[in-house]
Amino acid sequence: MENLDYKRYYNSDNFDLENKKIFSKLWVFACSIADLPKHNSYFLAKMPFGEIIISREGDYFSAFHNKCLHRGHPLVTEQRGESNFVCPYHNWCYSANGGLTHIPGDGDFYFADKDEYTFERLQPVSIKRLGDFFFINAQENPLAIEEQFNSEIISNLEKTRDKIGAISLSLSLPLKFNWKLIFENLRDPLHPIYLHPTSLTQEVDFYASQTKPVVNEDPIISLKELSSFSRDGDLRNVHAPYKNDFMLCDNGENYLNWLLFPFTHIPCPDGGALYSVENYVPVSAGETRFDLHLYITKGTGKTSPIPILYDWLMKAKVVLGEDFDAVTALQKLIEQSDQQQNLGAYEHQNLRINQFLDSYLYE
Amino acid sequence: MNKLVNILVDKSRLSQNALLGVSLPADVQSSIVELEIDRLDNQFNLIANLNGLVLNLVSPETFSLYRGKLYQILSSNKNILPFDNYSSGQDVRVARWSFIGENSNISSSAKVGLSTYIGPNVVIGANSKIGNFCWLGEGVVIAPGAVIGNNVTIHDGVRIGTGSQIEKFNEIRQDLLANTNLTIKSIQTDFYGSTAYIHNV
Repeated sequence: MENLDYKRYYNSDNFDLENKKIFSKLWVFACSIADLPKHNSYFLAKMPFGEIIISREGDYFSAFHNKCLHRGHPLVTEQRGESNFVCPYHNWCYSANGGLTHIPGDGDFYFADKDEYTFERLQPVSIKRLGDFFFINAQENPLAIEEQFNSEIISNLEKTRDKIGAISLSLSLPLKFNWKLIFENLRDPLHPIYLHPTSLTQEVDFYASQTKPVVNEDPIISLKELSSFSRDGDLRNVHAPYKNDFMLCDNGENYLNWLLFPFTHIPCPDGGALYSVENYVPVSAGETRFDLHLYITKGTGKTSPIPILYDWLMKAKVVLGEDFDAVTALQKLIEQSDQQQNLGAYEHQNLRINQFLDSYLYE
Repeated sequence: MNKLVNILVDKSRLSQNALLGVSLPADVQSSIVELEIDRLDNQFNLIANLNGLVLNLVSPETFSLYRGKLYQILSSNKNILPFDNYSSGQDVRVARWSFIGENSNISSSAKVGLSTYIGPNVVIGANSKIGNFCWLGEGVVIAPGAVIGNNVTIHDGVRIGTGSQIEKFNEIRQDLLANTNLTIKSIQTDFYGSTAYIHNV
């Protein structure tokens, strides 16, 4: 057994360090092409480092802060809309790529010269497309995404390129726990057989989780080690008869899983048609916002995607509810205690990541 | 404005014969417009300058992917009017933009909603109602008095029992003929107090 302190799950100083050194420095999932269906549409992503507009202008995609250059008022409040940005406070106007196009009364009230201010742009955020998914990075000169995610993660995301259909499902749910706890739960290969005996375990074979773990005690030296892509086990019951009616991005035989540090989990339960993107967006030390996006690939039209999305939502609701209840209960008692947690050998990856955080952030 | 526009994309399977039984007003001329549709969607503008009434979109099953976009263009074009509640000779009441497959038998007292696809060899019983944007696969049987809500998908060969109610957004794969007066509730959108939304339908 190895010990870790509980402080990291509720202390706001720890959270501030995480925001400054992790969330604001790393690539995080923002949205998919389904969220930008038209050639002049935007999607508003609420991140720990601010509200970010992801905007589409033809086939050009850009990202910038939802913050007017004048007084910092939000330009948009709706999550989706057309990329025609007019600040409601003083009607400053911006183009789809974030360029300042017009200031009402520019000469009279601001002594501003249009020839000069039209070079101004909303504070940009870096954006990268992997397949049909968009990742953003708060830094203007970010690290290469290949430094954060290994080639297996990237190549398997790239398989979705031009395959994700327009119809999607989304929801947002506030949760009362630290973002790290739910990810440690996701990296815990033993918990499904105990916590999800009648739900997830019935669909995925967790036999591998019951074998003796191969423990890696080496310290993490590369960001790539924080994220993973896996085929978690053969589908026990391939109950996805709709698959033939949709484009497949993989072989259709495996339960695909991306665990993307810091806070994105993408299970693909049918081997390449349905992608459930779970973003556990950190809000504070004890609060996380669960943003769920269900995407499905383009279909032949033989089967409507809507019932498939709802069907998966109901399945996921059971499994996620079991996880959320467990992790919320953990958080509640952790905040009332100064004790330490004890991690077993099988949890070596959670231990390594926490040791990495200790050395990189907290100490 | 008296031209009837059938948009035909697949002469091999569902030809103009799919509209057999449709009795047209004497002054209506039928015009078939052939469209080649591809995934780049770059052929849709071809239909934007047409005049007339649109009875139906005759297509292979895969065509439904593009039907939504076609409806959008058609409905935004003032020169093209929907041809509501056509008479099939059986006095069937079918709303606009819907498609009836070959050899389907629809009771004269049944109603079919907007933009609904009814595959070949479908039987729809007396006093039954089919909602908008539904998909009824080949050989589906809707027994008398059944009510199918909007956006319901019923797979090939499935039979729905007498007096049953299938509420919106359901997908039915299992044969339910033995169940009379069965009610399948609408899919929940509640997620622990939060609401799930579908986009770009």
